[in-house]
Amino acid sequence: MAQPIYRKAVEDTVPKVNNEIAVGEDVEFQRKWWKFEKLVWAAFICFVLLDLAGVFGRGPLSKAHLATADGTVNVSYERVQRTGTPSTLKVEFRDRAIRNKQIRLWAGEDLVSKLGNKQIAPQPATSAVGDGGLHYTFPATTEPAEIVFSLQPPSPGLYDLSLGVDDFPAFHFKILVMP
Amino acid sequence: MYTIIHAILGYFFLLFTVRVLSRRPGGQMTLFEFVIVFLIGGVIILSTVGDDRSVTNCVGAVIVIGLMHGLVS
Amino acid sequence: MASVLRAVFGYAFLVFMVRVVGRRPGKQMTPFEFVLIFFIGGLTLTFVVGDEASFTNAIGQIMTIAILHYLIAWARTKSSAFARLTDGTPLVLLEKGQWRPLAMKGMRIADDDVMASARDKELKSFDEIEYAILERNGEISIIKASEML
Repeated sequence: MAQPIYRKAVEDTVPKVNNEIAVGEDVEFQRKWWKFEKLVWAAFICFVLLDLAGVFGRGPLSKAHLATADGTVNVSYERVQRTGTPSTLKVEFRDRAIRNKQIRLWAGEDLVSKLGNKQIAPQPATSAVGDGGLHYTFPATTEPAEIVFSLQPPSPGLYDLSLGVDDFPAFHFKILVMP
Repeated sequence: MYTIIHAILGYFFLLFTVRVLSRRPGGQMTLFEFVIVFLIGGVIILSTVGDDRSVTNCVGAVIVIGLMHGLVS
Repeated sequence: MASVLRAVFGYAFLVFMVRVVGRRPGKQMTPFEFVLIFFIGGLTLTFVVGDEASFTNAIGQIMTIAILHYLIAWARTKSSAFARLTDGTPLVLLEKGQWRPLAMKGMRIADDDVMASARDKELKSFDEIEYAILERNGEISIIKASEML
């Protein structure tokens, strides 16, 4: 004799409307879901507004600017960057930073390892590694002198970056890299 | 920020194109419309995200498209 | 590792977006819905792949999404609460000549949509409908009134 395949008797578990028709309506759940949907829409609008402002990078709020007290060295960069997306860090100098027709600049190691520095324009005349950072010298004659670092952070995180020009106070700042 | 503007423009452009090119509004998609949406959509997506293929950027763009769809429907 | 996580996030995010934004009544996808689905699908694809367009990566991510999809389908059969979360619940739109305005407004359905479904079932007038139910797959079922008064 063949074994019965279904052991359990078929039951009708779906709730009925007026004991007439099996619908399985769950009004209470639907009400909660609509409430939840409203919250989601509000969250979406908030997200878009924050994104427009640049809280997540690539907007007005993500741009940052640093300068020494006397305005000799100016650094502009993006406070919030995104993984794999090109970004620039720009250092501008006045005449006083130029010694013997060159500018000596050092930066913390994170510039290359964490922020993915791909290219420096103009090319440094010399570059050396040491003291937990990188030392560059750039040939320069007169102001305005400008050095641009092209960055492309490979992975998300919060990174500390130090940057300085010889004889001037160093900058310490944080860069957040979004996923 | 630019992604959001791009996404809004791209969405309306795609919608407009499909609306103009489709003969039966609201009806079934023809093969031609499929091709159009795939082709134009693909190009618009590329230009929308640009060189920023990060999660943040694309999630932002998707949410904008969702909002647009919610507004229009 | 990161690419698998991106695939998981991308899939979950897409399912969520379609659930919140996408559900409108109707059997067929209109070009309107198609634009939405294609656009958000393509954008999600962009970040899921990122700059790792290698064969290995593609296979790994496809496997990840396949497993996730299987898991969700399995969980839906196991738990009715989970099924309710992913598919929603059927809603009665019309009950014995009484519209349910809250359900109609909440699901963005016009009374004409219900009448269109009724005509599809060869019902000529409003009185012939006993129940109209919005099913989980977006179709509107019409139950014919058994006896005419």
